[in-house]
Parts: sequence; structure tokens; C-alpha cells
Amino acid sequence: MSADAAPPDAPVASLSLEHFRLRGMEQGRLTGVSLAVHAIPDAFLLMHCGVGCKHKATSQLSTHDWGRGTVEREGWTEVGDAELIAGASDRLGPYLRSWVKRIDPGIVVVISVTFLELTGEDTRSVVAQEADTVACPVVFVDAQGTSGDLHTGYAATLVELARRIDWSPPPSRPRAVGVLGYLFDRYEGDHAGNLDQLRRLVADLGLEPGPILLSGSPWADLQQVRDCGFLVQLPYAAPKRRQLQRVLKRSRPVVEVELPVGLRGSTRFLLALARVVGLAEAPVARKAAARAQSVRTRLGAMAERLRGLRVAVFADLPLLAGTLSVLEELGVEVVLAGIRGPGFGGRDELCAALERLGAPVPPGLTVLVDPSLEAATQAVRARLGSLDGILASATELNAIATLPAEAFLEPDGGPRRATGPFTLELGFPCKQHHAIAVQPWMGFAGVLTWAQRLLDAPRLWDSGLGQR
Amino acid sequence: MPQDAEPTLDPEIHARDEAFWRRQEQRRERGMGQPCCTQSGVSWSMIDVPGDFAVVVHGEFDCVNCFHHHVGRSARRFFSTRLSEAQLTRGDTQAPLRRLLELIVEEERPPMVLVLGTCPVEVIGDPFQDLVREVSARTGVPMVPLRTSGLRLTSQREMLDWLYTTLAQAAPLSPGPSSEPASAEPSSSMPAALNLFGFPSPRLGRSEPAAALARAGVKVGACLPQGATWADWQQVRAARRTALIDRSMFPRLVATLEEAGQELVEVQLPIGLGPTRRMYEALDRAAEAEGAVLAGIADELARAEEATAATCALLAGRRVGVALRMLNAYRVEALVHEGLGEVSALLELGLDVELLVQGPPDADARAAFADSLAARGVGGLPFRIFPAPQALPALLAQGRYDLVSLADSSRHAAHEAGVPYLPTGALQPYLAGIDDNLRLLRRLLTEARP
Repeated sequence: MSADAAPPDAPVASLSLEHFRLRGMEQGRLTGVSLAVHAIPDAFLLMHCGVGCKHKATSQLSTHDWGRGTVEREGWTEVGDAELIAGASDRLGPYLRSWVKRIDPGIVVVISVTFLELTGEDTRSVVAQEADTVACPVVFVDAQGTSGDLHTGYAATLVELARRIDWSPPPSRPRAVGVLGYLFDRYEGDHAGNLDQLRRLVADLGLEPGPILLSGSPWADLQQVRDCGFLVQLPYAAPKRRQLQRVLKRSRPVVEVELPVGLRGSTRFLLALARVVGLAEAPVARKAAARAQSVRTRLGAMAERLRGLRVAVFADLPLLAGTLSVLEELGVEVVLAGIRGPGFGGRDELCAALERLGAPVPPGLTVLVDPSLEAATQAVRARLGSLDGILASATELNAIATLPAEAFLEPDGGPRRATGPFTLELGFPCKQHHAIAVQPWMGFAGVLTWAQRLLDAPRLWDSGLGQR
Repeated sequence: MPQDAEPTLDPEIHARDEAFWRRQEQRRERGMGQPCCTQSGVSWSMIDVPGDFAVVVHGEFDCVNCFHHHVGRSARRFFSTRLSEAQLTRGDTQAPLRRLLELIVEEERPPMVLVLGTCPVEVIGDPFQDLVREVSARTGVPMVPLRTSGLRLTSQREMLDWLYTTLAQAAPLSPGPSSEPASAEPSSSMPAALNLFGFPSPRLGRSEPAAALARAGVKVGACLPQGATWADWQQVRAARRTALIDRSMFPRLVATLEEAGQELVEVQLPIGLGPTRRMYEALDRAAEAEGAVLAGIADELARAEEATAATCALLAGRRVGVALRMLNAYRVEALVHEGLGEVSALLELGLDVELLVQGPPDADARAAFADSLAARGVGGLPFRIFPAPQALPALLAQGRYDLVSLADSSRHAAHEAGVPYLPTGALQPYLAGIDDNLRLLRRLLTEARP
């Protein structure tokens, strides 16, 4: 079974109620731009928008990131009805100059929103003109909310940043590897760990780790990516793949990979990078096998506790593919998968990503494409008797937690019903899961974090009678 | 925003900027609350109300991203017309709305549908309210169009008054059968003696004043709006009286309830000893309980007085900064009394309170804020104005505060300044909250700085 979202141009009369319901991932491009700006500590986001749009930038991000404030490096142009009538784009220059003077940012990203673009003002040109009046670089990113999603906005920002980098000189560090498209959404231990793992994977091949876009590094450091001889492109750059290719102009080799999640994901990452660099495959494969074995040894008998668990997973497609892969390696059976957001495609694209990872499609897997919160909740409800756990963002978990108690307490569920399903927050936003300690979920060592989090996962409720 | 933008390159640009900021000063909001998008505010409020109603956000899909969906119990009750750019530019926005409303009626038949406008549909002048009324009349399902958006700067207080008045007007004059139990007492055909409005409520079970009134034999109807269900809202017009916190915040709601024949009794937000005592005195009078309510809490009140006096002796004279006009979370308890609801609890401990008002630093604005604070009975407190969260770390360091109360979104400013931080709204209400509050303040004000 597979529930698919309506195509974008479907006739109105053919649309079902599911099309209109609130989805698990409703964040549009502005949220993605905001994440990207947040990921550069000396960047500033100037939002040409109305008062409500500010929430798109910070409300969920401040819940998700406890490591760094979200409001200190953003401003808005305070557009209301009077400003709209008077011509709102005149506001951009004064606000831009004032904020640059006050904050002294490394770079400014300016966005505009749909209702302002409907007036026909050419915001992009105004921004380009006003950018000449300040000393720091200023880029404009389209953040209209009628199409695209968080990932489109993040990737679009990445492209605009890449345009600001001079790729024409030959790389000064031919053995260095830069990374494009890392989705850095908080200054917490999970990303610190992932970035360490990415650098380690590069170093495992005898190469030099270069800048990672984006990674919590300041703008000046990010620009050093131009010195790298090789580039790795992660899936979160894919929504703007062609634009990025045009910017890079084949100036250096780029290898596109899936997220290095799990043992095989990390191995595939190493092999793909080795291939483009021109390293022999066999020694790399041996090294990867040794690292994988080391992880298996660490997991030891503990992993047996996880084997046979049946779970539902809701995540954006690249993360979902990686999660399905690592869960399979841990012996966890995924019976229901929800692809959050429309940007990366549906079931076919998920299967293709799994194939690239070398992971099997779980037999009997139900895939929901961009499901509404209602559809996700009902799909979980229908499987409550046989589900041990749910891995999802705080948004899906919150909706599922609103099911009435009877849904969890039906008497025919057997001993499993002595406890509710365990919950593991995954993706954006997280409300309960925050990482002080370094906790990678990428790379070989990331498998240990997955296992640890699955072992520690709290349950929706627990009668005290059940066993895990 | 500052008025001191210097010319960067060109004197002509400098002159234009100066003129711009002078015009900008004329339109600034002088109230003590942050302005809000009414669509965002209504959605943010309704997502936390359990019930079978439906909320339709008529606009681009990203307009539903103006409120959070990872908390609140009714995210599954929200819909978006998901207007495309083509539909907006062609003005073809009625067909998707009609389709959605008809599907909601056909598949869910909710007790009420709220249809919210957004900035894009306001800009194109979509008369969606006519369509909503037509579908409602044809199907018999109550539907209320609200021309919400972020275009007209509205205070959060005004927005909540508008929403609550809308919900009250949709409620029956006498309590009827409901598919969902109300969170206070089971409804009956007899009107309750008293509704409580604006009182902090737990998510489960009775609030402290509701329990105290019940012990005194007073029939309590609905406790609104915090923690209230749709069924609670159905009782809002059915009581004889409503005790409400900060009458000035709800002029339209007050008028609606008075038209329904209710008597309105104003009480103070019960945070801290004095406000809680005064709240119970007012409830006792409003319920005509002749001292029974006060008798029921006498022992707890005495204990709270003793604990407060002991803590006052320990903490008096410490400097506390209280930041205002920072919060955009649409919470009633944070908005009543112009956001000053926690200040009494600090002052009664002898703390040296200074208010930190986020706003324009010009003289006119300062005078307006001073008037507003005086009207709230805290005109004697010193206050400083700061333009934006970015200015907070320096301000906090300069102020030599022992503690600062500010919005959670700016907690990093306190950390950066090395000042202990009390999140706005952290102080607990009622007598039951006093011990926790005193313990929290003792810990924050006596432990070493981070």
C-alpha cells in the first residue's frame, strides 16, 4: 500500500481532503533559508516580510536548537498595509544599512515573501542595487511560500553562497575535500559528532578534510572551500543540483553521495570518494570492513536487544533512506515509512536511494508520501498492536500522542500492549531530544548512537507490566 | 530600529535614510505588547484547544508555518487551501476553498469551521467571506470567516479578544449536550454560578480556584481559555457571572458576555502571595460565598505568608531586570496586565525591580511607555528602553542585575552577560505555586553566577 500526495497541477475537483490537511513537514523555503543563515554564525537574515512570517524563521528553530540563540541575527522590514500601499521595497535600503552598521555581519541574506512579490515590485533588483551601499556581501534568496519546502530554501541559499565564491583559480589544496549540502540545523552535539565523522571519513582515505557547507563555520572559513581539489555533494544540495553545477562550472570533481549513515552508508561514502579521487578500491574496502567490524564488536550482545523490533519511521527522504539502512543493519524491522516533504520525491526515489546505499527495501513496507498528520497518525494507529516504536520529528510524535487512550488500550493487543510504543525524535524539529555530548548519527561511529538511542528511547506510556 | 543610520557611501543616501527613519517613528506601536499576525495568533491559540472543530487557513501553504505544529492537541484539525502562485495571480482562489469546505462538511461535519484569511488573499482582495457564508448556509455547518493577516499590525491582546469573542458568540446561551467532556465540571441544564476566564489552568484536572470554589459549594462552569476544550467554550455564555483577569484586555468579549446577561468580576493574575490573596477575596465576593472560599484556603494562605516573609528577609534588595514587549507567544497569562503579571510577586519580596522595555528609544515612545506603566500601577519603577534583542547582553551587563526575567528566545543574551535567567512565565500561579517560586528565586539569586 502506498498513499501518494496529489500532483501539483491536479484539478481542484479531484483533490481529496488529505491534500488540504496539515502535513508533517509544512516548512516552506523561508524556514530553509533561516536554517542556512543560522548555520553561519556571522551571517544576518534580513526578512522583507509581514509580522507573521517571522515565525517561519525562528519559532521551531528555537525549540530545536538549544545551543545558540535564533533571534539575535535576524531582522525584518516591518511591512504592514500602509507600507504595502506606499511601496514596500523602499524600506530595504535603510534597514539593510542600519543592520550592517549595528551587527557588522560577514554576509547578509535577504528574502522576500509571496504577498510582497504579488505587488510586482522587483525586490531582487532593489536588493542588488542597495547591496552596493554596504561593505559586506549581500545575497537575495527567493523564499516565496507557494512552492518548494525547507530543503529547497536551504539548497537555494547554498547556491547563492556558492555564487559568492570565486571558483576560477585552480585549487590550492589538491588533496583537500570540501563538502556541500550538509544540513546543519543546530549547534548541538549531534552535528558536532557528524562533522567529526565526515572529516574522519575523508581522513581515512589519506585526504585532507576541507570546509563543510554548512557547518556552523563563519563565512570567511566557508569560502576556503574554493581551495579544495575535490567536492562531495550530499543530498540536501540536490534540490538545486543544476544551479550548483552551473556555479561550479566543472571547476573540480564533484562526487554525489547519499548520507553516510550506518555501516554500508559509510562504506559507500568511502568507496565513492575513493573512486573520484582515483584510489584503488580494494584497500579502501578492507579499511571500511575493519571499521565496520570494530563497530559490530562494540555493539556485541547489546544489539540483540534491538533485533526484531518493529517500527514506523517518518523522515525526509535522504534521512529516511539512511535510517532504513542502519535500522536494517541493527535488525530492526521497519513496517511503515513516511516521506516528509515533497522535495525529494516518493517511493521510487526512496527505493533508488536505498539501492545506492546498498540497502534492501524492507519487505512489506508501507510507504506514505508527504502524509498529513492525520494520515500518519491513522497509519500508526492501525498498527499499534504490532509496533514497538516510532521514529519521527516532534510534529508527528505530538500528533500521534493526541490519539485517545483507548487507541493504546484495546484488549486484543496481547502482552505488547503493556507498554505504548517507544518514541525517538528524528529530524526537524526536535523538542525533547537535545545533545550536549558528541553524538554522531553519521559515519561508522554513528551506528553506536543509533543503537544507544533505540535502547534509551522513552515510551509513550508504560504500565510497568511489560518487557522490552 | 535606530534613527542613527550613517551614510555608508553617499550623502544623498544618508539624507534619504534620515527621512525614512523620521517617518518610521510616526507609525511605531506604543503599547506594551508585541504586534502580531492575527492569522498566526488565532491558529496558535486554536491548535491548543481539543475539539472536533476545523480551522482552514486560506492562503499559500507556508502560511500554516506561522504557528507551530509540534505542540498543541489539535494540529490534525487544521487545513490549508494551499494556493499556488498561479491561483493567486489569476485570482482563482475560490474554487479550492469551496472544494475544501465541501469536503470538510461531507467527511467530518464539524461543529464549527473557522476560515482564516492571510496576507496573500488580502493583497489580491479575495472576498472569501461571501463564499464561506454561502457554503455555511447551504450545508448548515456553522462557518465563521475571519479576515486575519499580518498586514494590519494588531496587538496580541486585540487578537485574543477578537478570537475569544468569536468563540463566545458561537456558543449557546445555555449549556447543551456535548460530544466531549468539559474540563471543569460536568454540564447540566442549570447555569453555573461562575465561569473563570484568564485563570491559569492545568491541562488535566481542576485548577486550584475551581477546586476551592467547589469545596465552598459554588458551581463552577467553564475555566477558559487555558487548557479549555471546545466543550468548555460551549459553556462560556451560560454562567451567571464570569470572574476574569484584566478586563481591559477583553473589551469585545466583556460586551458579548454582558449582552448575554452575565455579571463580570475583575480579578488580578494570581502569581505571588498578595495577588493570590486578592484573587480569592474577589472570588469569595463574586460567588456570594460569605467567607467560605477564604476559610477553605486559610491554612495554606498562612503557610504561604510565612514562607514569603522568610524569603523576603533573605532576598530583599537584590536587583532584578524584567524584560517586556519581547514575547510573541499569544499566551493570556503573559499578556494580561500588559505583561506585568509576574512583577507583583517580585516586588513583594523586596526585590529591586527595573523594567527593560523593548522598543524605540526616542523621547515620544519613552513618554508613552511611562504613561502605560503608570496606568498599570508601576509608574514608580525605573525602566530602560532597548531597541532589539541584540542590545540585551550589553544592557544586562551594564545594569548589574542579580537576575533577569526575559523571553525564552533571548535566553542566550542572559548567558552571554553572565546573569542568571528567569524565563518569562516561569513563576507558578496560586498558593500551590508560591513554594516553588520562592525556591526558584532563592536558587537563582543566591547561587553563583554561571
